[in-house]
Order: sequence, then C-alpha cells, then structure tokens
Amino acid sequence: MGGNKAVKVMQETDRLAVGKLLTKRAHIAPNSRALLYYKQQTEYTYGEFNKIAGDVAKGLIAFGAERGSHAAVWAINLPEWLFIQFGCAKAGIPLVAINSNYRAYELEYVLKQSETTTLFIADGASQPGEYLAAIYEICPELRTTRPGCLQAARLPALKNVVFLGKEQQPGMFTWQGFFAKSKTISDKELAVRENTVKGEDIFTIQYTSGTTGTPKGAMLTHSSYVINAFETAKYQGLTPQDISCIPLPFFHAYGCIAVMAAVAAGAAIAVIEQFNAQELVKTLEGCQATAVCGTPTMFVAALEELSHHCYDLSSLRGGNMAGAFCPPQLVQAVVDKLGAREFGILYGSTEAIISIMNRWDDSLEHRINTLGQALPEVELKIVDPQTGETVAAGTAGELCIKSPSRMKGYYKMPEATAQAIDSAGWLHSGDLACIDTEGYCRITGRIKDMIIRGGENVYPAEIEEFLTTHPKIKDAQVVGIPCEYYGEEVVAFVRLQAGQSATPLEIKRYCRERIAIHKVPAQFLFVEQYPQTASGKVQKFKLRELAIQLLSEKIHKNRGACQNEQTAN
Amino acid sequence: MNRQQIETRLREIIAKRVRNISSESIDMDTELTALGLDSLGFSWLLADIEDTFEFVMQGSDILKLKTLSGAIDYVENHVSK
Repeated sequence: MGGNKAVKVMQETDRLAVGKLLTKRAHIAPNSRALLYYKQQTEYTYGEFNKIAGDVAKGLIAFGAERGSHAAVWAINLPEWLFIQFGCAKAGIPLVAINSNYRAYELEYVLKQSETTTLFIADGASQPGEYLAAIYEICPELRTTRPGCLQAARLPALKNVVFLGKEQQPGMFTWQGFFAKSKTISDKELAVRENTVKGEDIFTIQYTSGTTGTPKGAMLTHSSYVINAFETAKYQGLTPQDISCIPLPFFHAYGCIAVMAAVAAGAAIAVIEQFNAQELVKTLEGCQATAVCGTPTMFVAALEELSHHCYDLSSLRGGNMAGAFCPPQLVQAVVDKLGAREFGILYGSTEAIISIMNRWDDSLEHRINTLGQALPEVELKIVDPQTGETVAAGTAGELCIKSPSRMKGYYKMPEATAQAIDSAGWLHSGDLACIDTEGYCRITGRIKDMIIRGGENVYPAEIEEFLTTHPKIKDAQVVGIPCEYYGEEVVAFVRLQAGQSATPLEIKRYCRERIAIHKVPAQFLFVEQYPQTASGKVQKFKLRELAIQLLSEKIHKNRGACQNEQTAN
Repeated sequence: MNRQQIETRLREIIAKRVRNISSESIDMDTELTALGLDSLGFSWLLADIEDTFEFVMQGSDILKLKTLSGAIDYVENHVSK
C-alpha cells in the first residue's frame, strides 16, 4: 500500500496537466525505468522520457504550432509515439491519435476532419512503406514541396509532416531534422508554454474505433486523463516498483489510460510494439512484469501460447482486461494460468475513459464476474432505454455515466455529441447493464446489438457467455440478422477449441437443453477468426453482413436445388 | 425416407406440439395456426423437425410450414438432398 501513498502525494499537487505529470515524475525519480522495449532491448528512464518529450514540445513550438492547433501521430507503439504524446501535451497541442490499421481513405478522413496541422508518420505497420504510400496518395503535393511549406488540396490544414525515421522523404522532416529545429527553443520558453496548459484544455482527440459507423473524434481534456490515471493506478495498486506490460495500441483509449496510470504511479511500462501473443508472453517473462492489461482476444492468444511453451511468469500479480465482453472463464484462466492473482475486469469507453473498475483487493468472485464499482467522482445510473426512467437495482437498462473524465464532445459533430450526452450531462453509453445493491456492475449487452426475436429481447453477450460453457467451444460472437418470420434471427459465429469438430445441430441441441428456445441461435457458423478493430474489438457489423451473405447464399443454393428437383420431377 | 414416412413423423411432431389433437386427425391443408400453434410452438416445431430429420433450418423457413402438406414438401426437399 506504500505505492498508493506515493500516488496520493502526486494527485494532490499535479492532477491537471499531462505534461506536468511527466515533468513531476521525472523530477521525483529521474533514473527510474519508464519505458522497456524487451524485444528491441531498449530502455528509457523517466528523466530521458521527459527530456525527449520536452524536445518534441520545443520542435512544435519552433514550427509555430499554436496552443490548441492539432498534431496527429500515425504509428504502431514506437517509443516516438509516447514522446510525441507527452511532447504535444507539454506544448498544449491536442494529439489526434490515428488508428494504426487505417488505410489511405480513413487517414484522409481523420486528418481532414480533425484539421491536423502537423503529422508524425511512421514507415508502416504490416508492410514496409505502407503509411508513406498512403500519405503520398492523398497528399501528392508532398513530393514536390519543401518540408514545412505544404499546401495540399485535399488536406488544407496540414503544414508539416515529420517522418519517424532517418531516411529523408520528399516533403517531410526527418525525426532528427525535427529535433534540430527544437534546439532553437530554450528551456525557459518551454516552461512558459507548459505553464499555460490547463486541465480543461483538450489533451487528445481519439477517434472511436468504428464498430458502429463513421469515426467520431472524442475530445478528452488533460484533467480527464490525469484524474482517471491516478484513480485507475490506485485501484490496480500500482507502485513505482511495478512493471506494467501494455500490449494495447497507444491510439486506443484503453492503451492510453494504461500508459497514464503507469506514469501516475511511477511504474515502468513494458511495451509491445504490435500485439503478438508470443512477444507478449516473452516480454512478461523477460521484463518480469508485475501487471498486464489487454483485450479478451489478446489473453485468449496468450493462454494458447502458454499451453504450448513454458514461461516463468511468477512476477505477475495483477492487471486488467477490457475492450469487449470478458468471459468469466477467461478471466479465471488468466488468474490461474498466468498467476495474476489480483487481476480483474473493468469498463471504459473512448468517451469517458475508465468509469467502472474492480479494485485489486476486491473478492475474486467480483473481479471475475463483475466490472467492479464506479470510480470515485463517477456517477452511474441505469435507465429504461424506452422511457429514460431510472430502474431498480439489479434491473438491466442503459448504462449512463457522469464523470470528470467524460469527453467534452465529438470534434465538430454537435449532433452526434447531443445524441451521446443529454442535457443533464449524462453520457449514454449504449451498453446494457445492471448494478446490484452493493454497486457492482455487470454488462448484459449493447442496445444496438440487442436482438429482438419475435418480440423477445435477446442479449448477445449472454448467449456468447453461455456458448463458452460447451466443452468444444473456445468462444462465440452472436449477431441478429433480418428474418421474415421473427423480425430478427439469432446467428452465432463460433470458434472451436483446437482439434475439435462439431456440427451446428449438435451445438443447437446443447443450447435447447439449457437455455430458452428464443435465445437458441438459428444458425451456427464455424470460423477461425472474427473481423476485429486494431484494438481487438470484434466488429459485429461486419459479422452481421457476413452472416447475411453466407445465409442468403445457402438459401439460394437450397432453392436452386429444390427447383432442380421439382423440374426433374 | 419416403414421403409417407415423412408425413407420419410430421404428424407425430405436430400432435406433440398442439394440444388435444391426434396425429391422424390433422388435415393436410388446415393452417397449423388454426390448430392453435403459436410462435413459441412453431419454434419447438422447428426444433423437432431439425432433430428428427437431422438438418438445420432458418427461422424464416417456418413460413413454409403453414400446413401439414407444406411441411411435408419442405422436409422432403431437404432430406432428399
């Protein structure tokens, strides 16, 4: 609990600006390890981290970037990503975090919609040069312009492009060239600028992962993140002695708050540049990580890796899982097989960061089966989605959140903002949940995912959890598709355990014997993978489209066969 | 399985799901809803057909089970494939 005391001391003095958070941390413990890249065998102390972030801020000031103008970063989890993030924070420049899986079309949309003036760009994620090819495609003027003098027809706000590499690229500053500019700004000028940044200023614009449609840029303030960072660090019991492994992408809110929590606690961060189960487990072992956070998909893969190879993970004690429905069996397996005895699940969103969380010392039953309780200063209510009336404890309804970490709104999308946040300031999450009399919360589904089959509400999360009780099923995703008779029909995509085979009828019979018939999926489609966002969130809308396509092909095939038979008869 | 065998099995299934009716008295062209089969009953009818004839149906296939004769046609088309 000594760590909680250290966290508290900082919270009272520096809870408002992200740049100051790092400055203070570097002042307290300059030689403490901050960033560990195990695969690359690279480390940075808090002193080095803060110095480089300061240089980034100076470079931006040298560019003439005004407070409130926007910079963007498009890269995997490189060290530069964090230097840019904290550098922008020190300079009072909101950072647009671009999804590392985006392609040219999405990049153009986000850069244009966010009115980004400076872009930091890496070489690529899955293919060498892919990011560069994308930016030259949407911004061909770069090829013939001098660095810093860009005038692009499709991206009129964009002025500077900085390449996160050594090679000179047409129209771009190199990372070193950018640092050369920073030398023209003094430490005093940086300190003056840093002192102007207030808690209520926008720290980051994070685009929602697009499981539901057009990306919207959620604007989060410095204080939103800093308050949340201290609370989540406290709930995890993080201390300066901890090493928190983060395989989550930094552009995602969950990855971002995991970093902030570690910085708030003075813990070291073991970074995975791009998720890979083997690298994750090797890093946990090699860095002797004490905590790990990730999505269910990541932990399923990590457990799979552990089933094939032996690793010493005895240092691991805690961490958390979020980003999608977390099956209790999976959380239990993380506790048992990874040995993370203080591990638990939590609830967050891009729009309000972490709102509900288990404390490290909550009972195992709560940490496995519930999201925990509301963080301090966070208010929750559950309302009837139809009437908007608050429902009784234990009753399912839409989860609404009031939090100091709630977004200010979606950038230049007032209508979407008004849909998400009501006039009383409640963020309507779109998630269905229930809260018991002790304040522990459980998610029961999503309003938009909710299937209405023949007038009965079916919550996919419930069916998904149930399906994992079948010994042959690893996990499942449930969607609703249009049905002439029931209005909607329940379809389950299923991943089987390794080496298992099953028939749809066999699984159906298992369901019929155990759950209400209206919840039994009409169709079972066996798959190897689900379409996912970069952060590991399953894209249900794509599964829905796939189900409609596959089943309509099946119908046509059957109809064709029937017609052929009738013709033959 | 021939058409006669399908009919026999379907009569048994429907009689199981409709109260106070014997399998022999189900008329070929009487709508099953008229016999008292509701939407829940249709769900179970679909389940029974799947279990008996060993194939998976779509929810909308219930529309093809309006009458006993329709159900026989539908099942015959599937089991003969």
